[in-house]
Amino acid sequence: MKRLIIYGLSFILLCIGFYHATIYAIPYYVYGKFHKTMVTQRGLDVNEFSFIMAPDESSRLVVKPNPDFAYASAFFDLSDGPVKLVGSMPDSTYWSIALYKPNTINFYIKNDMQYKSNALDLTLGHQDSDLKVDISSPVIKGFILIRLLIKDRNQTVQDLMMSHLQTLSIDKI
Amino acid sequence: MLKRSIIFLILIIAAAFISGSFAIYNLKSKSSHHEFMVNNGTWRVNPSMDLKTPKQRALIAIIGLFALRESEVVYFTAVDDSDGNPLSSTHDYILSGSIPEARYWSYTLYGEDDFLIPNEQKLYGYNGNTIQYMPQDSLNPEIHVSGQLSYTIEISSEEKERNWLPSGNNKQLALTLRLYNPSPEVYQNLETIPLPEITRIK
Repeated sequence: MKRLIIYGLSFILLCIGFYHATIYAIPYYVYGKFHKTMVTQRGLDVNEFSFIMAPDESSRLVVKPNPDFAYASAFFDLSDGPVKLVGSMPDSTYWSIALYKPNTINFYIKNDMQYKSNALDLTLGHQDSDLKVDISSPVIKGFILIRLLIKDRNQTVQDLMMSHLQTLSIDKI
Repeated sequence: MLKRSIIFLILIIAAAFISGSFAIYNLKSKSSHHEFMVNNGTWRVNPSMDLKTPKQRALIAIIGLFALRESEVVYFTAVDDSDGNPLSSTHDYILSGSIPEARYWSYTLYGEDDFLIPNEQKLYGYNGNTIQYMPQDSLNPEIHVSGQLSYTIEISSEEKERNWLPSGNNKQLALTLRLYNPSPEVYQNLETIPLPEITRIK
């Protein structure tokens, strides 16, 4: 009888522990799966941008995509110190820069109206870095997502928006 | 000793399987959504996207990976019509609304898998630039919001003339209203700002 109670209590404690562990691990798992797909299927390297123009029904990497946007995304790695985010963004539409931790928390977000210029020249470094940077990251590795609103679906506008996104790069300082 | 080790191993495996399955089921259930969201009619909104708790982080990772903080975007979601019945492509719906107070706004329809619904016309949503507004002089008094342009969106699996959102073949639909850089009034009145009714018409 005593042994049965021990087994029962152990089972309940294990269930509680595994429940919380699952909840805690889900964001890391979802992010890890996304990272693996981007690296293995799309050949994306760290500190390198990939681009998506106006998601459609074939866009099945991230749930609930917004079809009005063009996206530039990159996995940043600050292991070798701070990096520079440079590029030329359009002045006639909404755009924003968002940074995420591997647990999917959005720790930085700024839009076009909050930047002084459409010519991006931002430094990104870890919060423990000695260098003064524009964006201080709490994590060494994370994800950058740049959203650009496509106001008009015609090809000329889409080409123009894509040409802006393709100016983006992450350079070593 | 060996017997006891085997029993503990079985308990660990059983606990991992049962708890993991329950955690995922619990996250996908409506009660979990209600835990973090407030209601505005049939629309639900998460008033704080700081994702401070593990459960909130897990929920957003599943239903809206890489969502932005509420300081930038407010996401309203509807999975039921205004009578509380689940949105489904077996029915047609009409959504009647006015211009939300935001720098940019959009409605996007998603299928039961949370992805865009395949259709030849590539119609997945409408925003302030793409929607056709109702002519001012022929406004239906019932849906007219005084002094504002208004519009209707038809959600249907069959083609419609104006502001059509194809619903494909889905047992469950989800409609997302995004408000980018909304006015302060939106933040202060998340549960009361006027949002469109979603009425089943067929």
